[in-house]
Amino acid sequence: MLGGLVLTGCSDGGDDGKKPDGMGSTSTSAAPTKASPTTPDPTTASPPPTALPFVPDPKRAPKTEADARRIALAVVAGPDAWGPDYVKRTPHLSDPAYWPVLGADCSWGTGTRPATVLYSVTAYSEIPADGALGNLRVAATVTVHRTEADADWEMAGTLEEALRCPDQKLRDGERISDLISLGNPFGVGGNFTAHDSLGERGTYLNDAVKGKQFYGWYQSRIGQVTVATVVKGAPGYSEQEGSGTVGTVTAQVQALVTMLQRAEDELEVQS
Amino acid sequence: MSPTGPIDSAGPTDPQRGPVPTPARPEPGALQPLLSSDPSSIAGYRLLGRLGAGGMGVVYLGRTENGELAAVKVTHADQADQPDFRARFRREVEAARRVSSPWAVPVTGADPDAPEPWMATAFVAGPSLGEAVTAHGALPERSVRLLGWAVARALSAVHAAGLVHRDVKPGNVLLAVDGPRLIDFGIARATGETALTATDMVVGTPGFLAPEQAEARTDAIGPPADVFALGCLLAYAATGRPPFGTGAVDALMYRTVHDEPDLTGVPEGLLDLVRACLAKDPAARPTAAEIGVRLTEDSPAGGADWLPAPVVRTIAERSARMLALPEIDATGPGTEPTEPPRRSRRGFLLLASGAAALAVGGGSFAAWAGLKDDETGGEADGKKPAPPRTTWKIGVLADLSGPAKEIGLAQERGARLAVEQFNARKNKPYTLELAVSDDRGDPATALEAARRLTTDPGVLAVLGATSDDTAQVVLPAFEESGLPLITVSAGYNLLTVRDEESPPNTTVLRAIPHHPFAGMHLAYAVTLLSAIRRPGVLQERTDDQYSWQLVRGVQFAFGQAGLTPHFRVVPARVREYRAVLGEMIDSGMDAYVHCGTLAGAVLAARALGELRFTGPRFTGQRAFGQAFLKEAGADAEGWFFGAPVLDAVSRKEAAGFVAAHRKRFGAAPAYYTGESYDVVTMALDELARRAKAGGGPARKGLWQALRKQKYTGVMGGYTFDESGDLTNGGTFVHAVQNGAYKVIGPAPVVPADKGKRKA
Repeated sequence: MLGGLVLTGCSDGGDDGKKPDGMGSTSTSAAPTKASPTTPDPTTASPPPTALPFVPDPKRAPKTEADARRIALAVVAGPDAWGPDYVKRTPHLSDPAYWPVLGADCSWGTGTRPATVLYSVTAYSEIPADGALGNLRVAATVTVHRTEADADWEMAGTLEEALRCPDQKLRDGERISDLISLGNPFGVGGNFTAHDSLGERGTYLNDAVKGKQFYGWYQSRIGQVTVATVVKGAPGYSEQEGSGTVGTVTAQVQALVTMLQRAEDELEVQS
Repeated sequence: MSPTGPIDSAGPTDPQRGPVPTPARPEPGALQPLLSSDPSSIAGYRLLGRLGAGGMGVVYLGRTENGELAAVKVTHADQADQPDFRARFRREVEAARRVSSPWAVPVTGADPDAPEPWMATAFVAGPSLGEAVTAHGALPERSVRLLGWAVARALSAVHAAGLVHRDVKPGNVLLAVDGPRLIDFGIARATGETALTATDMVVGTPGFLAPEQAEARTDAIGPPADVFALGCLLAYAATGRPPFGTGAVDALMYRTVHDEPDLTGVPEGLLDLVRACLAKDPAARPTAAEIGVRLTEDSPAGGADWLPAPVVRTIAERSARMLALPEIDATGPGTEPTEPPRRSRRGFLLLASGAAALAVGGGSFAAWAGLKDDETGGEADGKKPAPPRTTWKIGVLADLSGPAKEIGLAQERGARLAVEQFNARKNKPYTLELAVSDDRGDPATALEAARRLTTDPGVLAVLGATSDDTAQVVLPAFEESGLPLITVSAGYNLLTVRDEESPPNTTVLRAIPHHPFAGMHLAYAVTLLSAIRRPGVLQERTDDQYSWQLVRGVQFAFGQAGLTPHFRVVPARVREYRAVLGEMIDSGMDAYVHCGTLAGAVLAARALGELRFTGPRFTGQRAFGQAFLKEAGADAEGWFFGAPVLDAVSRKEAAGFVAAHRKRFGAAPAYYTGESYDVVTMALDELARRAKAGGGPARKGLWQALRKQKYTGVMGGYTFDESGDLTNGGTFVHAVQNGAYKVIGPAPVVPADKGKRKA
């Protein structure tokens, strides 16, 4: 049954990619800092920086779909970035034309990639079901915009979705509800890893799985690139490690921050 | 190396004890006279003597113009000229200023750019743990637990500020009657400085170094190294012996890295914790915060009885000796000219213990009770019975020169008038001063501004902070010092609202609705216009915390009213609103709600004017004020504001207040002045009531008493819920008419006409 869902999800291109897996929250914002590889050297005092220590190289900024595709594929987080228990789902990468859109009825459907987006890719990973642990499905998305302002508007748009539709239908049999989405620009709410970040959290409901699960979407922006990670909860898992449940937030933040690092490597001035 | 010798000595950069001198230091902590080559003052500190000297520089005992004692550490110019020294010094001082704990001695001043960079910390007269154990032997288990709890709390604050102490040892923990104090948290300690590089000095530290420090694995030295040292410290306090022994430095290092600690004699109840701290693997050690929690049930509550009596006597003697110096008794400029301090012995102790009062900021312990005794006369056992007097104060922490200075200055005036009227009362129990600290609306300097108030034991309650971001920064300083913070303008919800796992707020009292409630009230105000069916709500991201909290309240309230708004979110940097607002109008928006700050509201007002939108326009506190009228001009007409304040001139009940304000300041009160006057008067009334009932002025219990008030002031009534938030609405609708604000009335707290709307 689960396998069937996965197959359906991936083949119709509407699975956990871009929007259909949103998440975020107030606690989201703090989390990325903790796991950040840019954590200051603890042997010296390090007051929080006042700006992201990132100097983009205009010559490296993607201008064509081909540039953007190369960068997106280099940045997007596969199972390795999530952790040792994660494996690729099949298919692992979204179709190049994949661009889900939240309809007026708060259901996700297929749309056309806007002209302001150069390229977008989603990589699907999972931890297969094992005994009492359900099938944990996660995904990472990279979107390369033409300009930083376009990427800014994508961040705003994501925040808008949770306000407009706190309850969303991902596809038949899958819903998310009670969504709350909070943005944190650099320096606010513990965001010291990206120009902008947001967290969207809510409840994940899957007809094939008993009970309510958690749902979390973290999205960050660096320059003209946005990266996002999403986790759809499954039995035996919780966001924070609990008594008897496996925590997912560390892996989710790690995947997010890994993508931010990779994006910086792709875009910044090389010394 | 004897077990006691090294421990008594301070490290090379200890600001209290000094860059350590010679092995033959006669009396640890004793004050040496100034040398003829010493300056008589540094910055605002008058120097009274030398606390220590060494290769790095000199540590002086100094006194501020206010009479506060400070340890002033001056670094020799040649040291300061080493590469990166000043930059590192500056960075670390900034970080140290973020350390907020009653158990860590605060940095009170610094100048990294002086020819000889200096830094001042509050002065603690008590003996070090090393001195106390040397003189009196191991401490009882309860003392050790309390010691561990407090030092762990201090370390937790140090680590939270991004610092690693790197030299936690008995010489760096000073004992005061109300608890221990950690000193010298890592300031200007040479990078990579370890016992290995320091072996040619008098080293007190090797027995207290973590393996990663002993091996000089600089990259691996982080907060866990301090935890290891804390484990050593606790074992030492409990047994009188460092757990890896004493002797040759290299052997000591080797044992630290390879051998198990000798914990013989450590009480059973502490053994697991100490052992966990001493794990060789840094990752296996508990964090300082965890240690604090594990020892928490024993936090000091009973004042001086946390230590055995002989140790307390030593503290008292030390304090008296330090403070009996003639120069210290002389009245310095700026200290109460009318009442030269004549100090009893008890006075000395109190003043010293509170180095105490200075650091704890009048917290909950003995130092505070002591000060109260003083105020009422106490029983002085010296010759001259008049004890030192404390000047009692009401504080104002406000943005007086930054982005919200209009609001900050208005609040200062309200508080000033309230205090002056209190002092004019015939039956006043004592005279109060107003202590004003300008936080400049800058989160980077707000904590320092707050500490000027929280570390002054005479300050009983503070009006402030003006803005959300500064309030968030200063909150820990107020929480740690038990000083009530009353705000009439900071609506950020988490100042008062806590999650279930956190202890409830007992510090902030908020006389306005928090932003989510303000958002609700704003949306309910929209529902007063019964024709509205499709409100457009725009969240503008210049200040996400504010706009998000407001929009969440709006979203909830429209949901309650059965309305489905059209939401849009715009990035912070956007200057062009016409496209978004045009889309909202095209989608059928019949009222506009702006969730954002002033600049965005002005842009929206202009764009809506250009688009000839005719529906009503609403926004909240952060756009309210004279600036909106000025900047939006004609486009301001027809806007409605949900603001947490009223115009005093519009209220009959406030006529007396308005007249007094005009007389005092030559102008009508501005927004926020009346509310400030009200809440300060409410606090003063409570203090007067307490005095009448025989209670001395004290911070303790004041928040709890204020929270229960049902107070009616000139601007209206104030009641508070258990978390310290206003309970009775508190949002007022203002309309812009002919270029001015006109009060419409209180915003509803439920949807208007809900039934009809559902249809």
